[in-house]
Amino acid sequence: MNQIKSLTIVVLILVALLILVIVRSSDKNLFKKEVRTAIEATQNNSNTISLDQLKKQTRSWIVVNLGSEDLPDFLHSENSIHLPVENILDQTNRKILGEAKGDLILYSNDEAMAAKTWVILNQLGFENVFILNTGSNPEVLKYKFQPDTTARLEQDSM
Amino acid sequence: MGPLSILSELPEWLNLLIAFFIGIGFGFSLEQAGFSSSRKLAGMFYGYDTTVLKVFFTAAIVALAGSQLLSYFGLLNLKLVFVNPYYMNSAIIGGIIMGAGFVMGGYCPGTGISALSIGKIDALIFLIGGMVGAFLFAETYPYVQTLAMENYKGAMRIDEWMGVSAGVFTFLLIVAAVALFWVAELAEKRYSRPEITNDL
Amino acid sequence: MNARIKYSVLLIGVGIILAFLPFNASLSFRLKPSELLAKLVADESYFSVDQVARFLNNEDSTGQLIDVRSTGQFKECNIPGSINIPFSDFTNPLWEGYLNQKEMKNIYYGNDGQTASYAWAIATGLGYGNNFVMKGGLNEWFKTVMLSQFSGEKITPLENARFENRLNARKVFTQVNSLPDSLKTKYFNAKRLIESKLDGGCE
Repeated sequence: MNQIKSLTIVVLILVALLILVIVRSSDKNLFKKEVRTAIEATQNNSNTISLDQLKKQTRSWIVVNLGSEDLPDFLHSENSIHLPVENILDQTNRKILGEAKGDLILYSNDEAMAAKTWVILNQLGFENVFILNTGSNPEVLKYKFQPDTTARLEQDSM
Repeated sequence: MGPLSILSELPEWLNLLIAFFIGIGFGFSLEQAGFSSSRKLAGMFYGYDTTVLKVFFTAAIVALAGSQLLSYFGLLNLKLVFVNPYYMNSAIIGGIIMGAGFVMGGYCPGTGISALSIGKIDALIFLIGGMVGAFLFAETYPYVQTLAMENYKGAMRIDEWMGVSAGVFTFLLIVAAVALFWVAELAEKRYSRPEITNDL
Repeated sequence: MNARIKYSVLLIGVGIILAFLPFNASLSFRLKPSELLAKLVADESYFSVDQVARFLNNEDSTGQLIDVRSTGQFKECNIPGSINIPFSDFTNPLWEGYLNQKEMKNIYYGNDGQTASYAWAIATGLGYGNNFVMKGGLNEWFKTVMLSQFSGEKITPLENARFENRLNARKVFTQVNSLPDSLKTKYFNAKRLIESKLDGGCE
């Protein structure tokens, strides 16, 4: 008994530490994922979806409009929600995203905005988030570099 | 970013000043723990005094557990901590040389300086020897370079090599340390040399 | 009770807690979600291709172009002076010296805007400063800098300057990218100075 008593302070420290750890790990307002998961998810553009793929998709989905304007006509309006990007992390909006059934399809007419938002949502632990590509595959170089075979770099600029 | 992540953003003089005070604290505790005595350090080898093992191993596990906790709470960026690259040959050969010098001289570089500061002549000679050795090494480096650079493994970490998380590795290391302390205390009883330890 | 036992129990207890933490040595974001979102919304993190062309012409060393495409694509053509950090290899500690620094503006570009934006979000989320995206990526670069022609009757001084800037950048781009592969590699390697970071020490 005496022995356990003298360990009180040690046990108290450990319990305090445990409480801190539990509080921290249940904090929703922190990024917890590893960066690697985001990078892996973007390989082969598997985190993007084209309009055609979306139309064929049998799983349920909902378009999240991140921009300030309305969705363009070619997107079904009944299957969409409008969450401007600056408010996307508000508690109510996050709840909407969390409770949405099916895939979240991010749409913005600014593709960079959609890509950055995708990283945030991915790192917050949202699964099944995709970026809608309205055009062709966006990460393809549309131009071909034409080398100038007569060109030589001058010595001094090397 | 927490308070422990900003050291790199402080002006250089303040950084050096902090280093200065940490250095004073380190030297002071080394001296106070009796590490300025070569007999204490040699005791590790003969088994009559294992303070060195206990102190440095405790320091290692406290630092390990503490830095991981701080990192978990976002106060410390462990990515900024430098991981020594692992040169296998150099580590083995250098380890043998350093260990032999350690037990023969009775000091490691840090404790040598702390012993010199309280006026021990053997520590002075030990440090001069160390400097000469470092000089000779630098001068002959081209000859030993291939040997020293062989089996380069990069910044290797044991937890990654074992395939466990850093936390699990820390736990294993703590258990190993406690077990080792227990063995060390047994050794102290077995090889006790009261005529030496009573002076220390 | 013996102090040793107390410390041993304390350390082992802490060890058990650590062993159960989802902690790992790999990278995760240091910024809070709201902080990262604020930077995203601020919309100050872009350079236009014209600005990048000016960097190139002035050999401006305040900006570092970072090509996040694959090594193969990079070798085919890239904006001279840029370094190649393939996005799939982005978290390799080898690159940290380039990505996590305060002296230069890191300007990311890919073929279009997407991959560079991922890179921007990750670098910013990790707490690195000075991250920018070249708006539109190489597609925009080709469209504006490489292929645009002035058409009109009368050119204003402002437009004249802009087109001259593009023309010069076009020349450098074509020259460097037309070099034979061996010379190109030499040119890249010369650019690639790996700064050694902190040094380790012993007790």
